[in-house]
Amino acid sequence: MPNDPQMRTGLRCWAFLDWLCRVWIIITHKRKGGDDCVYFPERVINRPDPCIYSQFLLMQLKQPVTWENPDVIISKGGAKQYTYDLTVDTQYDIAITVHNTSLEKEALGTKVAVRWIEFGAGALIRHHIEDLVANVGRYPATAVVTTTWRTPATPGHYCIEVQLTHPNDGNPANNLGWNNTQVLAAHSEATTPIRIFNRHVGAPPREEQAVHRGPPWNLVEIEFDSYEFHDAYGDHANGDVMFAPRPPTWPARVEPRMFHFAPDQTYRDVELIVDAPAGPGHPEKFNVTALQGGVPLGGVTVTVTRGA
Amino acid sequence: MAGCDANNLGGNSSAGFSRVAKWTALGATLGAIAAALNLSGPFGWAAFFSILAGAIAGAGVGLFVGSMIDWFGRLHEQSPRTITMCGDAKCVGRNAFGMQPFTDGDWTMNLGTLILCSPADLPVTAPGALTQVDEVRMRAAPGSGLSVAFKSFAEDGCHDDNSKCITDILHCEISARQGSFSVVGGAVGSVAGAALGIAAGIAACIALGIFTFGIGAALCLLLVAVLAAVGAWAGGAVGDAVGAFIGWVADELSDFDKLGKTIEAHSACALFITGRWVTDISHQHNEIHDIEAVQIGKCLPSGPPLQTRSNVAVVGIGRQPNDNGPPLLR
Repeated sequence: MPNDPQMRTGLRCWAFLDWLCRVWIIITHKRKGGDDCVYFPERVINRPDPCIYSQFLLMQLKQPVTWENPDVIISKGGAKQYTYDLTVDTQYDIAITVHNTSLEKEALGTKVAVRWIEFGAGALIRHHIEDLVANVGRYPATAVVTTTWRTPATPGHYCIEVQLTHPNDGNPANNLGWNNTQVLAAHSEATTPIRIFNRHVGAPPREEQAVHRGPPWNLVEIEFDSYEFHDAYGDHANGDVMFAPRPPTWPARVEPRMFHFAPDQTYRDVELIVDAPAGPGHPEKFNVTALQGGVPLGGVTVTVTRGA
Repeated sequence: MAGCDANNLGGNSSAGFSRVAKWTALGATLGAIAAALNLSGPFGWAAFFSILAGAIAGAGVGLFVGSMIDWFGRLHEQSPRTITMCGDAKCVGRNAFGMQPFTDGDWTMNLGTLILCSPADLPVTAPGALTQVDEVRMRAAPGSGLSVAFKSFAEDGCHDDNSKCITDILHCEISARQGSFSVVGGAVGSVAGAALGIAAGIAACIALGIFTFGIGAALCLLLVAVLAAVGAWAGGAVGDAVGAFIGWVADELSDFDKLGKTIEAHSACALFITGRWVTDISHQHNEIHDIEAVQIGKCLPSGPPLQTRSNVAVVGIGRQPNDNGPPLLR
């Protein structure tokens, strides 16, 4: 707004006349429309969409997932790390790639909350690492935001959780991603415990009643596979290829694969048992995903190595 | 262009009209009582018509004020407030321009091939619900007075013949300002009109010198009641129309440059619809109202889009842009 009072008055007059002109056009002109279709205004249909690889959206769309998130990398000295095996009281680098599906709107000022939760599926307590800001251009632009994180002094196993927020987000369903990984050296039977947390400790969800006919709230079901995500963009991104199911490549089982939480039970450990082939060879991945009451809890990806 | 109706399996899809009718009856009763209480002296033939006119005046105020109360109280918010549903459009349209309670200018959509995309951890708790989509359609919001919301279907006649309930849908709307402005205008207009009618009646009585005891008072009351009735109904109608018009202009001004997009029903486009999850007690079903964001996730040359969910998933994780299908109508 100019400082000159006359110019300010002139601009206000012009704005008022422009407003009057718009009202006149609205009243006297036929607007766009048609049969069997509806025009949605820009404020709802043309928005930025910051996003990351979101296992939870993919599970809702009935797609296989990896918990080795391609958009969330934790490293030390440039070497990729597995979240289960991080050293206590040690500094690590975390890099997050934020995408934007909008061809028309930039996703500027996207908030990127980075947190850690306990390794396993369904941990409820979030621990703050850093709140970052990503400025993502229009598709196919991406933005990489980085931070450092010093692990707690007490021993533990971790999962990195990333949550995006944007005030004008066109699709908030693709904002939550996990990086929850472990590497395991193969033995005749490579075994690792996986902690499954009870989402409804103390009480079932609201209005759980005898007339409810869905899966019991305390029923935990565990699925596993050897699906691998091969990243691709644009015309190279073929959904049928990227999300092709891949059953367990080696004999494997989870024990128990199904159980019921007691009302006050906080968690239960299950075991992934992989019978890897003897001798050297390529490593294989095993994605273990848990559902409680038919609802996704989370999961881990375990890489089983076979030596050189 | 007509909007989309949702046809419920069970329930009363016109519960809103019943509630407004109750307000109207209440207003009529109060108007009649008010007229009766003000009668004095020998009532004569004027008494009956005074009570009748008072009832009509009260009914007018009750209708318009009741419409406003019902309008702003009909949507009961769920927890979580915001959900994202994926699906395809079985019906889209905009309700005609006009006045409440007949029409409201809302943007409407019946979303089918339903998937709950967010929140992924929504527990399944509603009586009779088997899946998260059932939960979205059937959980009755707190304060709605319902034990369960009734599922909606795309087919006309589903409510009366359940065998016609085939295509599951979730009704979604964006409120137009013309609806809200018209109910407020109607309520304000009816109250103001009734008040002006009473004032005009009293002024006329004084001017004509008929504000006397006995039959004069009865005639005067009749005049006041008739003018109050005319004022309530005419003021309500005029306020309703003026409010609708102002709301329509405000809607158009907010999207003057028309940078939005057109969505077709039955096109092979997967949609992500984000908005406020509510129980609409006027129709006794759940819906998304208001839609806060629409994203055209993926359009395919033909066929139902969500049968190939992997292609929608590619867009969902940012590996392809949204709205990348065939050009849409403008």
